[in-house]
Amino acid sequence: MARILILEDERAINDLVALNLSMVGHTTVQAFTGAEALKAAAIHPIDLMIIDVMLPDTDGFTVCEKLKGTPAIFLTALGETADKVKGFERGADDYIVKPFEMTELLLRVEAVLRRTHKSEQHYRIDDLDIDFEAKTVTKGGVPVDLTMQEYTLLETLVKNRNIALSRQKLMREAWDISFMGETRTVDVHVQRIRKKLGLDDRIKTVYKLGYRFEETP
Amino acid sequence: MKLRQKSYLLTVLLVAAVLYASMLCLLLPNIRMTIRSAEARALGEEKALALAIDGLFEKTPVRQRPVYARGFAVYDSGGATFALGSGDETWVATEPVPPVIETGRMQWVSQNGRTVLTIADRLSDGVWLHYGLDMTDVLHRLFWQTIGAVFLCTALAVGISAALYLLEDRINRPVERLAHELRTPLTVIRGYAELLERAKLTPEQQHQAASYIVTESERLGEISQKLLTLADTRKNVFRPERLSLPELAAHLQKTYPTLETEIGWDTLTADRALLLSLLGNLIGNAVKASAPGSPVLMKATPGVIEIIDEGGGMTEEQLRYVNDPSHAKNPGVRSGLGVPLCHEIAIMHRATLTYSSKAGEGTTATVSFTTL
Repeated sequence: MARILILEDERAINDLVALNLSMVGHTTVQAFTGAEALKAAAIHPIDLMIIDVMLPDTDGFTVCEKLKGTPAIFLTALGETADKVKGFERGADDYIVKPFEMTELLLRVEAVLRRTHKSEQHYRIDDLDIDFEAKTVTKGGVPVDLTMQEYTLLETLVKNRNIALSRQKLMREAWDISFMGETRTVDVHVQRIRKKLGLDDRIKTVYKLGYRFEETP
Repeated sequence: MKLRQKSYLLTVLLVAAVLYASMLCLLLPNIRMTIRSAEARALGEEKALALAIDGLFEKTPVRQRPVYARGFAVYDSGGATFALGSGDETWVATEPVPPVIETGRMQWVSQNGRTVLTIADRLSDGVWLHYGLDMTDVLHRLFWQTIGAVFLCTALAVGISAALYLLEDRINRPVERLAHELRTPLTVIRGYAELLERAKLTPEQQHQAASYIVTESERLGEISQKLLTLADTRKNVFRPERLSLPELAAHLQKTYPTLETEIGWDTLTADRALLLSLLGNLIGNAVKASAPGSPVLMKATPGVIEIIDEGGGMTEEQLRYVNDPSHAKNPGVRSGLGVPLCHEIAIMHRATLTYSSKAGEGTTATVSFTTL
């Protein structure tokens, strides 16, 4: 999984982002000042940086320029349009506006990693192997036949593992529509995935929320 | 911020440019000329010259006639060329007159060091009369007027935009700062609440998430309190009255038991609530900076109130921040509205608030009143 540098001077937000990213399997490096970030980046190669625009010792854009070549997502304040423009001019891959939804952040991270070919190729748990590149699933070495919707549903759950996703969210991801009404379809498909892959213990129903793929049952 | 300043400057410059252009357009009809060539031909040559010059003025309506533009004529009969200024002046032509291309065509002629706009008219074969206006002074004047106007407009534009910028800054900066400060608690509360709801956390992680939510909620409360105080100062509920300083000091001592006073100033005119809020803020900060139980001194001499503590003091960086209310983000102080608010209240009382401090030796906050 990717090694992600988080540069944010507010400890609470820095911890929050780190916790979320480690939840879905990323390795995180936390920095609170621009200088710390540069030092950390010199020690380990970084796949992606998440940078706050306003820092005590410098601003995020400067750090981003110094670490040119590393993909970057900016955390910015609501409505700072000028900042956004500046960010993209100076090499940001994406930005996210505070306050943000965590699943939104994970989605952006995944998108940038995929674009820069740093996202995970395989996910293995128990005797299950998901090949994200080929979009195929094998169980105990035997290919399992999944429909397109079933596969996308599984991928979304695994990429956001350990975090519960609402039925609406899953619906949007797997069917690519904002469907607000009938979400029973999701239940039906989740049932089928569980049955086909024997994932009853892994894909948990979270009361009143939706579903969660759990690494530690 | 910079962007806004630029746009102000551009707008004002544009308006100034348009104003100046329209002013020029009003001036231009003044340089239009009139010709009385038919009349001139009918008369003798010398009379024609005089007439041409007079006519020039005659045909230009009085109110449009530029007083500083003089008539001018060149009589060119092949060999003998002479030029005339308006009125009594007679010049000998110094430069050859440019060949005439077409009757009635205007051209610029330089003669006797003057710049003249002329029209040529044929009096007889090979005999030409160039007549028009001596524009030297007009051009001269126009040149300096343009330079003056450009200077004036630029100065005005810079001045107005700077004033607008400062005004807007004064009004919005504390609000912007508050909006900025709201984002962090909102992000944190939302994020950890989401985690608690959606993720399977260890008991330690749950505890951490909950405690972050609690502290950031407290921060929201603080910000809301500051917003209320700010709204009060904004409402311009500024009611100055005669206040007794010893009485104020006694009042403050009730809230801050470690406060010691040294009052050498009896009365001052100020808004009681705002002044108390200002002094309370300063004393509160001093108490926070001091070791528990150690005293904070409020010293008043005519025109000056000082709050002196013997706490940890501030670094130069922090000092620069507290003395400059427009600092974008405070490095050390957690919630940064208290200090700008103090500056605001001081400004309302035509007072200045300055801090002096040395790390390890304590801090002195000085409120100096300019008018008593």
